[in-house]
Amino acid sequence: MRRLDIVNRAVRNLKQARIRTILTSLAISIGAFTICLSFALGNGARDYVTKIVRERGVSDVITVFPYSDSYNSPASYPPPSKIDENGHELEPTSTSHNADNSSSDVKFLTKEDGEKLKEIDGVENVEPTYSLQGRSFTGVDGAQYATRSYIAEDRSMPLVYGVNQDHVFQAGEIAVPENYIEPLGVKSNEELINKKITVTFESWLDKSEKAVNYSREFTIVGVVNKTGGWLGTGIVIISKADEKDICENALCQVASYSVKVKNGVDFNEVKNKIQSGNQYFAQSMQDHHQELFEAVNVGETGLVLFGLLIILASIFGIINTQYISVLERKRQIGMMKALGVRSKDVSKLFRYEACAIGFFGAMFGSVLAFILTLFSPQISNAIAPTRDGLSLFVFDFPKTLLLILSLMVVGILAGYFPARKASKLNPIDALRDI
Amino acid sequence: MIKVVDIVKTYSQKKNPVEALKNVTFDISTGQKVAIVGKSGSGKSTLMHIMSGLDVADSGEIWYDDKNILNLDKLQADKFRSLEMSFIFQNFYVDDTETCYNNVSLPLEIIKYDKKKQDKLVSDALDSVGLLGKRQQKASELSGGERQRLAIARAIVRKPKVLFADEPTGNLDTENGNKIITLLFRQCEKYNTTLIIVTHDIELATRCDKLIYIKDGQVEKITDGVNNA
Repeated sequence: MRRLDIVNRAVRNLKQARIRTILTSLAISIGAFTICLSFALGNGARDYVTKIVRERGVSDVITVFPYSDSYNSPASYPPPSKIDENGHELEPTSTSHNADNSSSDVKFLTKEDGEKLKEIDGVENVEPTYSLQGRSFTGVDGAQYATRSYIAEDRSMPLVYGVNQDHVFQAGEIAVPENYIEPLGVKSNEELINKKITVTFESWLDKSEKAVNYSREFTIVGVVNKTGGWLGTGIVIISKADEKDICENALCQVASYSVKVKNGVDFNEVKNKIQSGNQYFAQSMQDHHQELFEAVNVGETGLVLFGLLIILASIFGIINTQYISVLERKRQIGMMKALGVRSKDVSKLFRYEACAIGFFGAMFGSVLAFILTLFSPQISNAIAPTRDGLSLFVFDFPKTLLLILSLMVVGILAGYFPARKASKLNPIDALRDI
Repeated sequence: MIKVVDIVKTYSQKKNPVEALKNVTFDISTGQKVAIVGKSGSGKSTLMHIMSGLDVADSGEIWYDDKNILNLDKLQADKFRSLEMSFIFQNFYVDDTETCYNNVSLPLEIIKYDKKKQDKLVSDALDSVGLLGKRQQKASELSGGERQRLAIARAIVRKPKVLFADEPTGNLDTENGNKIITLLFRQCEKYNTTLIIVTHDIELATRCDKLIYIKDGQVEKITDGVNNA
């Protein structure tokens, strides 16, 4: 028989046993739906990660830090507390940073490091990145209050009073958190504006080295929401010019260098050159990208495995359905064999039926998943309203096509034993139905 | 010409062999209508199965012109059967899930017949049994007589050289049975098909050219039917 004739007969047979076909296909469709959705979710997550990475930095830049066994950075920002002349907190809080850097082994880079990095083959240019660490500010009572992270002007910081977010900070200008009101002896945000504040900065040095302190007076021009932005609470904003001046000239510390790689040069080769000798630690957005991708892939694989388990269970459904079908159609098989249909064509008939069940199940599950992904913007918005542009599901057509083909093959494999039984039926016994 | 020579068939049933056929020998001429007659269990169905290549004999020969089908392997036997033979069964064995058209087209699909010419052959076959108007109707919707007519259409569609009919009127009333036999004979005459009917119905058998009586697995006697009387 021609393959097409067998396929047509297989499809017609399935149509006859419509309910049974639908129920068997449904089991597969649940697995297919889960897998398709996993792919879509994985794609959505990867797209989002890529978007975030693009927003956070350029992909041809390597960030170089001094080599260190551990990298500690202040993680929380409680309200300022008083410190003594040695930098110890008078009213310590459990999570506050101790101004005494004796427990820290954070290192900084120097101008010489920048020059060294420039000389590496494939490097186009090197830009320093500063990390300014405040030590304290002087309160109205003359006491020193612990102060936290300082950043140069950042448009994303929530300024709640004084200058607005578009303000370009000039040298000597500062924006402080709302909770500086009390230490500075004022009653409102309004009174903070134009007030002078003396801030002492310090260098982060090795345990063996002594911290270098440097004080400077600023004029408050803005007030930052005490809950802070993405950096947390207690953020103080100063101008870029002040940041550079304090870091380079007073404290001599560069947190990291941004190394731009020349076009056409192997990115990883440059990275490896930088890291050779254990002097520097190099990291790029591509590394973050890769790490996040791996995390997404792990999640996606877990869901896909779950879908595969469902499909594995549904395979037994196909086998069972096809076995019953063989028993029900014994006389039909006998008649076909009597008319001269070859055993292998009888086998094909049942395998194609199983294949069609796999196909219908895969199609149904995939279409259902596709329809769900059409509502991705609405679902994403409901789940994460603050994540602008997040698309939770991005339907993967090539993988879905591969899945459909795979499930057709799975159907054929599941139909193997029932098909074998049908092909081995003795036509005489089958016609007598014994 | 069909020659059946010394056919022996033994079934082993729990160490007690049963001789179903014992040295069965006879000839059938091309285009003849032959009835194999015998009581239930006499071995007539076994003989038909061996003659059609559905079963194998322990010894003997079945010659279709110059070809001994007992020397064919399974694949060759399937091919020979699909090209030269056809069947009609007591229980019709039409595919109830298919339309009349798809039932009749099956033998043509088996031999990979030209699709363009297939439609005409199927229509002609259905027309000859009076079912052309029901070509798209499901076989399950037909009456018993119509289903057997459908089985005849399926059997004659590719104009086989030999047509085996196993109790073709067994499930029909007398009136319908007579109509079916008349139709069957007419179609076989039209295409010069050799018709071999297996039956225990003597009245039907006597309408054939030749009657082969089988008793206890042996040819008891061979007589002429009314047509040759």
